[in-house]
Amino acid sequence: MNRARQDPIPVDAADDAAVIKQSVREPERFGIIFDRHAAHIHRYLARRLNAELADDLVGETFLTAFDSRKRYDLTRQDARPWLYGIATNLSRRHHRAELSAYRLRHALGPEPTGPSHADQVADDVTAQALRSVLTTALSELSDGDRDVLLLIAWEQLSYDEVAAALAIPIGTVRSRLHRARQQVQKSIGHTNPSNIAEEKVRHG
Amino acid sequence: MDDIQLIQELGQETPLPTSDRLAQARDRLASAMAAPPSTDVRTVRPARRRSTWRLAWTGFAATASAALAVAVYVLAPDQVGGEVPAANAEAAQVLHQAAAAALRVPDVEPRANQFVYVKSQSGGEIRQIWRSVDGTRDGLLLDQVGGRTEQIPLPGCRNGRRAVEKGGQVDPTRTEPCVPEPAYIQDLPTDADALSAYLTAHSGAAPGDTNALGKYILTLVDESYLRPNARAALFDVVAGMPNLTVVENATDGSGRPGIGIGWSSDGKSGQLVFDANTHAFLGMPESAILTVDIVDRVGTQN
Repeated sequence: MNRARQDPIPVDAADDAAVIKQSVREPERFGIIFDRHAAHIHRYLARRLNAELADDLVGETFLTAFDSRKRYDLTRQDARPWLYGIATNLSRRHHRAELSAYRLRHALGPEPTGPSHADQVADDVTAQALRSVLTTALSELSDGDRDVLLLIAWEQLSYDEVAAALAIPIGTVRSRLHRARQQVQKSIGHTNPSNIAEEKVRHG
Repeated sequence: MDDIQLIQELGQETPLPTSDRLAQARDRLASAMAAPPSTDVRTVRPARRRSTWRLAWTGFAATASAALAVAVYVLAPDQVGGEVPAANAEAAQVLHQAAAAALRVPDVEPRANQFVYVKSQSGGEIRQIWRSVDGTRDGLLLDQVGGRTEQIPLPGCRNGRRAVEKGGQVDPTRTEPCVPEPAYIQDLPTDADALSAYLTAHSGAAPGDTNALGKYILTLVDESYLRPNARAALFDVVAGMPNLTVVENATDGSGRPGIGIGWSSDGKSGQLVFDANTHAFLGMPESAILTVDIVDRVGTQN
C-alpha cells in the first residue's frame, strides 16, 4: 500500500513499538511485525514441537498478537519477547508433541558424518549417547524451567526479555535457569564422568 | 563443552523456515488485518444490564487472548475419515433443516441509516435493542426487569469518536475513541465453507477450536442481523462442528420448548434451540430471540 510511503516514519527505521502503535489505526501495518519476526517464531515452535505444528501455531501467534496489539506495552521497543511469550503459551497445549519431538531427536540422532573409521564410530557413539541424555534431560524439566532454558539457549533472549516474555520476575528467571542447568548438567555428568567440570557441578 | 552449548547445537538442527512455509500464516494475518475492525465482536456489546450469561460475554473481551492460549486441537471425526458419531449426524440433520427454514424467511437488505431491532427474553428480563446498521447512528437499549424499565442510550461512532454514556445518560461534553459496531455485517460470506473460514479468521480460533468459534457464532445470532442466506450458511457451519450433542427437550430463554444443538469444548458450551417442527431458530437456553427486524427509527417497531 502506498500508505506506508506517505508515512512520516520510514518503515525500516520505526521500532516495533512504533509500528504496533500505528497498527491500532492502520491494521495492515502489523504485517511489518510478521515480516520481521515470523521466521524466528516459527523456528522456535519447530524446535520445540515440529515443523507442521509450527506452520499452524506461528499463524495463531500472530493472530493473537494482532488481536491484543492495543494492549502492547509501548515502552518495549522490541516485540520479540512478547511474541515468544505468546508462542510459548500456545505451545503449552501441545505438550505431547513436545515430548515426542525430544523422543524423535533422541531416536534419529544426527546424520553420520565422514568415513566410518573406528575413531569416528566411537565419537558418533559418544555423541549419540550424549544426545540421548540431553534430549531426555530436556523432556524431564518442568515446563517453566524448560521455557526459560530454551528461550535463553536457543532464542538468545536476555534475562530481562525472558522475564517480559513469560511475565515472571527476573529473579524467577535466574532461579529457573539455575535449576534447569543443574538438572541438565547432572544428566550429562552421569554419562561422562571423566568430565571434571560436570563432576564439580554434580557434587558441588 | 558446557550444557548451554550442547543445547544450542541441538537447536541448530532446526533451520529457519522458507517463506513458503510462512505463507499460510501470513495469509491468515492478512485477512484479519483486512477485516473491518467493527466486525471484531470481542470489542464491546452495547449493553449494561445483562443476565449472567451476558456478563460472561463481557468477560470474554478481557480474556480473548487467554481463550486463544487454551485453543485445543481437535480433529473432527469426519476430518480424519473416521465414523461420524450418531449424535453428530442427527445434529447435522437438524441444522441443515434449520438452514432450509432460515432461507424461507423474507430477505431484507438493511440500509446503512436503519436500525436492527431485536427483542429478547432471559427469564424475567425483556431486552429491546435498536442497533445502528452501520454502527454510526445512536441506538437504544430498553431493558425491562421486574416492572422497571431502564433506558440506555447507545451512542453511535462517527469519525472515530462517540459520546460518553454514563449512568444511562449521554454526557454531551465528552467523547471517547471508538470503532463503529455495525449490527449488520455486509460482507459475511453466504457459502458455508467461506463463512467457516471467515469466522475462524475473525474469531482468532485455531482450527478445531470449537469454543472460540462457538462464541463468535452465538454473538452473531444474538443481537445482530443476518440475511437468510448468511444465517443458513451459519447453521451449516455449526453442522460441521465436532462433537455436537442433541438435546431433545431443550427450552429457550423464554421457556419455549424446542430441540437443542449443543457443542462443548474445554468445559465451555453453547447451544442453539430450534422449533422441533418448523426448525425455526428460537434462541439460546439463556436467551430467547423473540423478534428481529429492520426499522427506520429508534424506539419503533414495524
